[in-house]
Amino acid sequence: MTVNELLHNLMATLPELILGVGICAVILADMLTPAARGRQVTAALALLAVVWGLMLTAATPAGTGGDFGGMLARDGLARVFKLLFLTGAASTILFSLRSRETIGYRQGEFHALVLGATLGACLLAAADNIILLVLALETLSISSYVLAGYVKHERRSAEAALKYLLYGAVASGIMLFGFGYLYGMTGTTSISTAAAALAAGPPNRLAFTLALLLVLVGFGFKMAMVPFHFWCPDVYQGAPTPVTAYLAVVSKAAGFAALMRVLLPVFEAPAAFATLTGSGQLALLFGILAAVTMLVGNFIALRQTDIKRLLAYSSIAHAGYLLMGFTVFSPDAAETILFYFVIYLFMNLGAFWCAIVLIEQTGSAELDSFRGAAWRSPFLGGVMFIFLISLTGLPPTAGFVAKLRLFEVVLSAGMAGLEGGAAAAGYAYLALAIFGVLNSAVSLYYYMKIMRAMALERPASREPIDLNAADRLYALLFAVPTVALLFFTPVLRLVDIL
Amino acid sequence: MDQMLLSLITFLPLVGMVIVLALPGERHGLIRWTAVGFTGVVFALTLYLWHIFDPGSIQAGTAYSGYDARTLIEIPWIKPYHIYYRFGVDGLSVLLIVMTGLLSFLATFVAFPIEKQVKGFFALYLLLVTGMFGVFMALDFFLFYVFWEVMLLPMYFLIGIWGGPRKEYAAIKFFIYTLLGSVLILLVMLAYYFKMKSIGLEALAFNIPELIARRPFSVPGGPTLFQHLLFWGLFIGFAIKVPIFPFHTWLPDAHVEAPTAISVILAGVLLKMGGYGILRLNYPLLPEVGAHEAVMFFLAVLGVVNIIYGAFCALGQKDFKRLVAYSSVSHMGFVLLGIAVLKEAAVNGAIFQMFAHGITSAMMFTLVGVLYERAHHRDIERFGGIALQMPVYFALAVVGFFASLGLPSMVGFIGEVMVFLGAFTYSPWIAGIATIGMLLTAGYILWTMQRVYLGPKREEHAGFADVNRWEAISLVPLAAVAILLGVLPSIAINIYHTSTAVFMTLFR
Repeated sequence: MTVNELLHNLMATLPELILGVGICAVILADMLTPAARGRQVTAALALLAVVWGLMLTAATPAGTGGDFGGMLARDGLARVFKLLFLTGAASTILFSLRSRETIGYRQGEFHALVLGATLGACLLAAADNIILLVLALETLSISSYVLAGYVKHERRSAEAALKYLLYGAVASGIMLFGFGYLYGMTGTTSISTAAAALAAGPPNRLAFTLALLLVLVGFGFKMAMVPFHFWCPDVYQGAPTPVTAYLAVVSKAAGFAALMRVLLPVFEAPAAFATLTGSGQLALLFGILAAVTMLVGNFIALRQTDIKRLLAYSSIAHAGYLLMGFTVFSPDAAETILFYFVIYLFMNLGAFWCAIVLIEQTGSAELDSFRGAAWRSPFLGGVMFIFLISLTGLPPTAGFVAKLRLFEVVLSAGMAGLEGGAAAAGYAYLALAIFGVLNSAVSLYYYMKIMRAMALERPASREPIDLNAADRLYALLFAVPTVALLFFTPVLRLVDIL
Repeated sequence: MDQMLLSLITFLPLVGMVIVLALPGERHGLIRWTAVGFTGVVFALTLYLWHIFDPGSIQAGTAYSGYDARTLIEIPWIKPYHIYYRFGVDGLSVLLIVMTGLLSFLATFVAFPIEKQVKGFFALYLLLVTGMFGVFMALDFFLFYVFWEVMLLPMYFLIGIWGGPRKEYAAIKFFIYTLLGSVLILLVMLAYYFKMKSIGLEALAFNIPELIARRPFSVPGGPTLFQHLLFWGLFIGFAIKVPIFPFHTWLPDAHVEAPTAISVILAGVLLKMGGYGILRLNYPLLPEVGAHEAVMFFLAVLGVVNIIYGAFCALGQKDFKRLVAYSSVSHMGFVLLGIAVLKEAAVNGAIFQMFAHGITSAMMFTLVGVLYERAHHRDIERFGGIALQMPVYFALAVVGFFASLGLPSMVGFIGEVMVFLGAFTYSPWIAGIATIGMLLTAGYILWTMQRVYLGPKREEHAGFADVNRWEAISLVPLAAVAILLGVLPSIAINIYHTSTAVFMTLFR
């Protein structure tokens, strides 16, 4: 590799490099500034790094730059996910300034860890090599473990971190075992080369399915997919709320990014993998996982009274909806999943933003303490309502369009099955779509539970909730896209990757 | 101007909402009168629409036959999916739009006693009005669905915040029931989209008149299983709204807990959306299923069950408002029966019955509300002798109750008779059994009137003042319409009977 090539390659990873430099800068700044101002200074530096990386990523079209000898993919998938991760990270840093939960601990470390996790997530989205993928995933995971336990004197937070760590370590181990199989079958660590080899000479299907299942354990853990979701509610509840938002959006999306990266060749050319995906068995597997994940997430959420736990189960349910997209291997399905994530980012971060403000104002995450909050601040009640109906998937919000597209993908596969003579598969798809739709209806109940506490019940106090201009601005930054992306042409162009 | 008319009617209330939100919250009077002003102007516009409506203006033979050409508007909205902002009206919509205009205007007066969060109430109320008009005008399936849901959201809060003791329960029950129905409609919408896409007509995938004209799922040799699925998906979606037994259980809760003005809108307008959906989408999209012998019979029987079951439930109620709520179930049974038998007279009757029920149920709920304002309870057994105490109120109540009962020369009579005429040619048995419902209706209405209004004056009612100005403003026009259209039903029938004829051509 000549110096020129090296530079060419490095330029392609400039956003990641900036994050890396940002980590060092944050740690240095944390040491050099007085503790009282460390919070603002390190946040500003971290934000600078993230926003810079975001702008660079946005300005770079897919497919440009070097690829480190096939280690990194430079496709649209990586680009869209990087944009999502960086936006999520920027929001997390802003959230951490609003939340008082992390005050009293060195903020520099917090922001450095957020940058580190984001660096891992960005590399993960681009990794076209199993080793890099595992390394990136671990970078993200280990940073997240520490972040979850950041408020170390809080029992819950420490417990959350430990739980997260133990689950995560086991899941990673199983995933590595699966990758071992994959390597054994193909003799390469490059994902795209392995995919080509698998397509050319299909190995034993049982071995392939086993490998995929084992890998899915690792990814499913990040995605909070049932049955690997048990850590999720406890960690979401115990972690500081900005970290919870990060886990619910960035970390979850990273799990999906890894899964999509591994399955991307199948999405691109489903026909080439027909022997491996079987006559619908793989789709059936994802269909069942989707159905179970939705069901568990939604039904347990019904009984939650803590907003962070409620949003945790809601995020499990959303993982279920997203998994529906994996039952249909077509370019359209891949784009739909990305599309859903773009919308999910805004509505979920928005909901978490409102949750942070509510927790700050009432000192508790219990729904009961939010009673009457919508009257104490009609603005807050209004934007929260927008996020919640968007999460439910009701018009006139973007959440509706996102869900609509998912159902559309599944239903169109069903209709194609019915008309193409595969009646059983067709009806299975229809059943999955109906199941998903009914689940959305169920989810309305618990989302409205928040609204019920905020607007319908007798106020816990009459004192108005003060929101300053910055608070309102942040809320609008999420709320406006949540409504305006209903007119979704620009997002469609963004996710048009295949 | 005429092309903007429908958009103006729909979105003026939204403008009103923004203005109400901008007003200072403690100026209750100003907020109320702003709402009155906007709904009043909108009502005037709906009357203008009635005036200029010309059902024959689009040539028969095109997909848009029966729709008014001057007011039809079509603008691309979400281009990649061929979703249009497409508003248009035929006779059926015009009738219901005028009714909506009238009721939403009068209900603002009914809402005058509300003192809690006045600003929030009227803001949500105006949003609700926009949603209602949108549903009756949208000719794009996607747009229809959006409005259908938009109307749900404010309703949840209107019941949940300003409702009675069990408001939270009633609000969420209403919301979830209706949402379950609407997701079924959504799935059917998607099915049509894919079908149209697969036959290369993606550009028309959400165009309701074109979908009706082309009926992409029709195959020679009768309805397929999939067509049945689509039909029942739509039917259950709309039946929940109507409401049709056994999907009616949200209704008594929602109606009883809602504040009076919202009960008026619920019973007067929202229930009609179910009937409207059945007439606009369900039957026209899948006429083969609707005209299927077994389906006709089943739905006709279901209509009769609704009539009789609702009436029996009403007989058993002790709560005045619950009684009126169940009478809605009974009256809407006539609508289902009229549609199900697919005779022109019966369908005309069903549409008239929707209008009539809009007027009479609005009146009955207002009457109950007036009494509740004074007594703060609704227990029928504890009333009595109100006629002597409040003579003007009693006179209005007589009109309302007799119109609801279906007394000849009142608005309730016409619809029921037309439905019976049609149903009789379908099956004398079914029509015969349905008449039992009429007897039961007479029974519970007369018995209620006797218990509430007649009898000697009572001590505890001594302080009850007669109807005040605002109550009179909301009741008198309704009473006038109830009598006027009972005597001259052709005023209403003329506006929509050509639409019914177009509807009936689908079943030849």
